[in-house]
Amino acid sequence: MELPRDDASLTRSDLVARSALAGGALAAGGLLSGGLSKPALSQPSAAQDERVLEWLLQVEYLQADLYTETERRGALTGELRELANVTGEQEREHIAALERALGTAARSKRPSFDFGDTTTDPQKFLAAAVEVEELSLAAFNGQVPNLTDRRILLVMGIASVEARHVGWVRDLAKLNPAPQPADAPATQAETRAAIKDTGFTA
Amino acid sequence: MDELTGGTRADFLRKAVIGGSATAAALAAPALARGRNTAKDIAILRFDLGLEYLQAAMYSEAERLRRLQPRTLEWARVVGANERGHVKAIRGLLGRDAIKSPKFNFRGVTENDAVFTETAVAFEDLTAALLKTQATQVDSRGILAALVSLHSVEARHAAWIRHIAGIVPAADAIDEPTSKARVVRLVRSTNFVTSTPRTKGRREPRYTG
Repeated sequence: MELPRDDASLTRSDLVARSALAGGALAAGGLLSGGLSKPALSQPSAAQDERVLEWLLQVEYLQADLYTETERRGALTGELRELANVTGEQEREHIAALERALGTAARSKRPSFDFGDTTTDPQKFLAAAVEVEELSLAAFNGQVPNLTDRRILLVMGIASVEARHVGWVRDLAKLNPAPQPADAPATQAETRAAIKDTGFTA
Repeated sequence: MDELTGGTRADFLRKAVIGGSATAAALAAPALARGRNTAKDIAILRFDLGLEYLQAAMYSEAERLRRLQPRTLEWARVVGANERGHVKAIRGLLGRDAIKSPKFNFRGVTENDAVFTETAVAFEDLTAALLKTQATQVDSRGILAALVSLHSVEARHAAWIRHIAGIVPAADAIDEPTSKARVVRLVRSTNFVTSTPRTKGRREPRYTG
């Protein structure tokens, strides 16, 4: 299940728009992230929509499992507990929505994760939540331009909530919730590497 | 921005014509400055630019006046810088088709913590919602990618100001899009936009919607 990595199908105006934004970043004193210059764009199709949604489902499994296990173990208190409960429920709804969109095309195998004491240690949980929400948001942002118009609203509707989770969890962690004017998208390969870096994959 | 102040269509066409102030943006986007965006994409980006001008100006004024509570003031400082970054990015995408900023009067909102927060929540929630709608409307996939990268920052802003206000940062599992008309109604209801730039035109506007 590989998603597009090259820009072969980009039109010239697309390339120009992308370089303009990269140029705008320079003009803005480097405020915009350099990641903007490399979205993995390719010609959208129904078949590609399926591959993208299957991939994003994998990302959702990681998030949902982190929060669901945290909720089940019940060791966190206060707003961290509320965060795990609210975001956990929303990530499970994202899974349901993606599976509904895929219908009979859904064939993702649910991976298993080993969170260790991350789901019971408040500091470890908070750090993991920041990391997982950020990588998920970048994964969703990276795929929107690959989708047909039919699926853009679903994926952006979820990405928007991932961004809200990021803002919330970063504020709780006393990190700047929005340190850049533009969020960098991530390719599938970049997200895979980021997931591996969490150390949660079996 | 006429849509935001209620000007007539003729007014809009007269005011929408661009002067020569886009030099910096043209340097950043030389190819676009030669007019490679479609008319539809230009209209969408111009509307967004107007909204970004409004937000950037409101938050920058709040930062300058320093009358808000510390957490709200910090929000205004960081988010104001981001919105100014959005202004530059969208001007870069528009090149010579960029509009100038209108003038604003925030009518004390930037000095009143409760009203500022309520207004900021509305602006950030609605901007994120509007960008979703526009993402399905733009012709260029490159511009789509740009809107996506701004969209999630608006959602971060929304969650942050909601957290400060004690409102749940993420109320729904999936955020819904909204229409431009709804955003226009919100902005008009604030009466923040006092005048749009009356730039003498050099050429026919490309925007006809």
